[in-house]
Order: sequence, then structure tokens, then C-alpha cells
Amino acid sequence: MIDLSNIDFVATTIALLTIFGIWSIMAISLNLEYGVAGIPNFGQALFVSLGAYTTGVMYSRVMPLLAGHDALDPCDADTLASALQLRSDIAQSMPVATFVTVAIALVVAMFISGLVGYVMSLITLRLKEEWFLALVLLVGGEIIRILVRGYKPIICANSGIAGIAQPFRSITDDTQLGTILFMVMVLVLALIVYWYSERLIRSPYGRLLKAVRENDAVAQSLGKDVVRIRARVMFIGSAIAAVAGVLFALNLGLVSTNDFVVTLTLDVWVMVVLGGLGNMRGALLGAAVITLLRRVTQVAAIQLNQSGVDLEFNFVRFILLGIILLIMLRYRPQGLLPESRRTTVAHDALLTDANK
Amino acid sequence: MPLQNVWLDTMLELKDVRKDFDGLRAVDGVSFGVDEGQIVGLIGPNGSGKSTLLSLIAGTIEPTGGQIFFAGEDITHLPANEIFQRGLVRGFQDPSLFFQMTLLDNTLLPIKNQRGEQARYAPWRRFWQQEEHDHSQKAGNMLEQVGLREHFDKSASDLSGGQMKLLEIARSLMGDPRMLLLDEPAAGVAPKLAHEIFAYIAMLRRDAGVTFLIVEHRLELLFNIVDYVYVMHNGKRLAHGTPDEIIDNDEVREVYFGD
Ligand SMILES: Nc1ncnc2c1ncn2[C@@H]1O[C@H](COP(=O)(O)OP(=O)(O)OP(=O)(O)O)[C@@H](O)[C@H]1O
Ligand SMILES: [Mg+2]
Repeated sequence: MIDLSNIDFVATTIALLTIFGIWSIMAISLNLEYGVAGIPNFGQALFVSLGAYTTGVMYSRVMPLLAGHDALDPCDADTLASALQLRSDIAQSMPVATFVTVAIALVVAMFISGLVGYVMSLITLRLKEEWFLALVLLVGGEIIRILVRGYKPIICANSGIAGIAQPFRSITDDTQLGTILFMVMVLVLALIVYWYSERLIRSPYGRLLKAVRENDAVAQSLGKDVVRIRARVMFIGSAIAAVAGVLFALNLGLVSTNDFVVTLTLDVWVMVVLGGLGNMRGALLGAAVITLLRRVTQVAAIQLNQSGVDLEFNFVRFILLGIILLIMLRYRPQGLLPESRRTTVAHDALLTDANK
Repeated sequence: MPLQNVWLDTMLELKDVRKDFDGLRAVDGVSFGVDEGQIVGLIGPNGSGKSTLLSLIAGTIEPTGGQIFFAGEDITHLPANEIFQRGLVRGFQDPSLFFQMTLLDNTLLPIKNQRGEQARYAPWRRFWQQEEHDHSQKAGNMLEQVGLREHFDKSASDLSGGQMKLLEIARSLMGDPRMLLLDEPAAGVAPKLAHEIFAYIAMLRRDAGVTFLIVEHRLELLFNIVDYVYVMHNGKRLAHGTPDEIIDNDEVREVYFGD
């Protein structure tokens, strides 16, 4: 029933690896916030969306200026088509303008998202405990999505912004080479984020975050400013999530509020719970499994529809995710790859002493 | 009046401290002082407000009324972390270790001003490796002192109840306290180890000049080392005096010893 003959395996592999890289970054971000620091961030969709919206704004309003053109209104019915054409032309012919735009988008997105995460955490955690923050972020994400959906100047409300061409199109006419280079860029960024977070948790800072996670009252009475520590790690985590958001927009070629609904947050949660709370390799594993599961169910859904089966197969994915979550929480709450017990090199120092 | 030793400075002073929990007055206008270098006992029946009082002093909960001074500074409304930074460190009645962390990590955590605890330095080892190495030597020595060094790599959850108490004291000491508040350090600890804990406390006062306020029901241990005792009952200060005075106090005998 499912026909595999019309699938291009090279293209699929490139696409899957790219998506895996993007989801990995999201999973690492949540794993740092929840797995290590114990902050239940239900606002992943929000912080990822901030990265994507920033990309939309940069491509539609800053890139033309960088390329020496006037920025046409990307939303107005009269200029929409020519703005889109201009955007695509620049992105396919002017590497400097394109890459500078992407770089600016990354920096600005990280800063905006980090700041939003920091301020929202600081305000809510002063008032109530961390589960209240979880709720604020969940609801806040949806509110901001609805606002962006209704307010034109950002990404043209519900029409979104198309023509977000991948940057490597500007240096090669070979479409597949362009996607391969983009995949490499995504994987390199994912690797940097992995390396950075791994370094963080194997430092005294990682020890501090774990202590706050396990018993915030005791950490506070041992001199730690718990609210500020949580807000700071939310800055880092939100900034990382925004990187994923920028890449998400570049990969899709389109920024639309439809992509940042609560199910995105849920997918990231399942990745982290499945892979292993507090273990960054676990986050990668979770991202890989869920990326595959998503793709398999999506392909199956499309093929089933084409062969005339009247079944909304995407629901099967949500059921599967729910089952995975339940099984993990019931039988293996630490995840497939549990957290390592030790934090810093201090242990090695004492171990060598002990062996002398 | 609390004990006034003219040759010592007042380390901790409470003035009319009160705490209400939705209608329940857990601490009801308590005043007292602890002088520098003293070991002071705080006793009283279950539910008399001793632990609540320690939490009020340490800033874990905010008082409903009254004032608390530490080393001459009003700390009544300071958050717990600020109070710790000033050298007033508390222990907890219930085990309060970081159970998922190793003994060594537990012991390293309270050290003040760690550069590696700042996110901007943390990823770059060269900023904190030397510091961390020195700290781990210090922590190793501290664990040695309480007889736990060989277990440094275990999770805190793998310790026995008595060992947990020891680790908690060791952890408190890593914050370089001027004064320690301890809540039943000998509860659930075998007699031999309990004696060792109290001998260790006496030694810390003698050699390191640490001031102590200790809540403990096992008076045979407590009265060996304390200079002075406050007795609480129903949130109020019922009596105070030297251990001998307290044992002979009729009111205390009635509410605490039950005879
Ligand atoms: N967070 C709280 N909320 C409500 N009531 C509380 C709270 N903490 C303590 N209490 C109440 O305050 C009173 C004093 O409790 P506290 O724990 O200070 O007693 P204690 O003297 O330490 O007793 P014990 O010797 O049993 O440890 C008790 O009646 C207790 O139920
Ligand atoms: Mg108590």
C-alpha cells in the first residue's frame, strides 16, 4: 500500500539530517532548562517562533537595504509580488547581503528571545514557583502567536512571509549542493550548541543548576540567588531555541504562525524525556528518534491520502508520542541515556589522589 | 534578660520575633541573643516553634513581626542567600542534601564566589580549572574530617542517616560560616556517632571560633557542650539559663520532661 519507489533517498537523507539538526538544537535547549535546571519550559514554540519571526523581518526589511534596494512593503497587495521577487533575487545572487542577513538574524533572534525568556522568568518566578512560569510561557506563546497572526507589520499577519531562500543558493546554482551546504551549516551549529551545553553542565555552573533543580530552598540557603540563576539559564536556553527558529525558517523558506503551535513544544518535550533528562547525548538521541517518527508518519499520511484512504493519519503520531511519554515516565523516568552523576573534573583530581 | 557577657560581642539578636501561619502563631514574640563564640542550645516540646525560629533567622521564611540582627546588621528581611553570604549558615531538620549529586559535589556547592559558577566563564575551563582543583582539595579535607572522604564519589542518597547528618555539617562548613544553626544534628544517629558529632561541634567552636545555635532533643549530649540554653513552649520563650539552671527549672520540667 505504501509506495517507496518515488522517494529520492539522497534528498530525503539530506532533508532528514537538516531537520534532525534543527530539532536537536531545540531539544538541547529544553534539556538545559528542564533536564539540568528543572525549569519546566512549556514555551518552546514561543522561543523558536521568535527566531523565525526575526528571520522573516530581516529577510523582508533588512536584506533589501543591505543589497542597496529600497525595502518594498512585503505585505501590501500592490508590492507583495515584487517584494517577494526582489527577496528571492537577492538571496540567489548576492552572497554578501544574504549571509550578512542570516548572521544578523541569528544574533538579533538570540538576543530578543533570550531577553524575553529572561524577563518573563524574572517577573513570574519572583511571584510564584516554576510551574507558574511553565503556564505563563505556554499561554504567552499562544497569545503572542495570535497577536503576530493579526498584526501585519511583523510577518504580514496570517499570510506569513515566503521567499526565505536558503543562503547557499546565493553561491551555487546547484540546488542539491545548496541544500547539502545548508545541512552542513545546521549540523555544525547543532554541534556547537551541543559542545557549549556539554561544557556548561560539566562545570561548577552545571553543579549549581542541578542543585537548584533538586532543592531550590536548600540552594538558596547555601547562598545561591535561585530566581536570578533560573532567569539566566532561561536566557541561554531561549537564545538557543531562537537559533533553531532561524534555521527552521530558512529550511522551510517560509515564516508562518501556523508552525508554532503547542504541538511543537510537545514534540520537543517527548524528545527530551525519551532521550534522557540532563544528558545532552540523550537529547540528540531523542531528537533523532522523534524526527524519524515524524517523517514516517507524515509520509504514511500523505501516501494513505493519495491512495484514497480517508484517515487523518497525523493523529497516529500524537497517539504514538503520548504512548512514548507514558511508557518512559512509568518505566524509565531517567530516559534512555541517564544523566551522569559527577559534574566537574574535581572528581578526577580526588580519584588520582585516592589511587596514589 | 539574655546573658550579657561584656567581653563578647553579640553575634545574633532577636527582638520580639513573631510568625503566623494562617492563624497559627508558631513563634510568638521571641527575644534572645547569642554571643560570639558561644554554643547555645534551643530546646522545647515538639511543635513549640524551634525549627520555625531557625528558618526565620536564616531567612528561609519571613517573620510576621519583630527584628533580627546578625553581627550588628538588621537581617530581618534579607533573602536566605544574602544571609548565607554574611556568614550565617543553617542546617535542616530533615535531610536536605542534594541526593542526586555526589558527596564531593554537595561539598563543593556552598563555596562562595566561584568563578566557574558564572555562565560566562563556565564553558571555558581555563578560567576555573585551577580554582576548582583547589576547592576539591579543600572539600576532600573536609570530607576527611567527617570520615567520608572514601565515599566522595558516591551519590548522597547512598549514605546512611548518620552519614547524611555528617555530610550536611561538612557542607555547611564549606561556606566558611561565622555562625551555624543546627536542627537536631544527632536525631536518628547511633550513640557513638552522635557523641562524635557533638565533640566535633565543640572542637569547631574552640579551634575555628564558630558560634552555634543548636536545636536538639538529646539533652545529655547537648548539655555537655552548651554555654546557655533557651527553652521554647507554644511559640514563646519559656525559660533561659545555664544547663544546670534549666534542669532545675520547675516550669521546664513540667512542659518538657513531663514530671
Ligand atoms: N509551613 C508551615 N505552615 C503551617 N504551619 C507550620 C509550618 N511550619 C510549622 N508550622 C507549625 O508551627 C508549629 C511549630 O513548628 P516547628 O516545626 O517550628 O516545631 P519544632 O519546635 O521544631 O518541633 P519539633 O521538635 O517536632 O521539630 C507547629 O504547630 C507546626 O505545625
Ligand atoms: Mg523542629
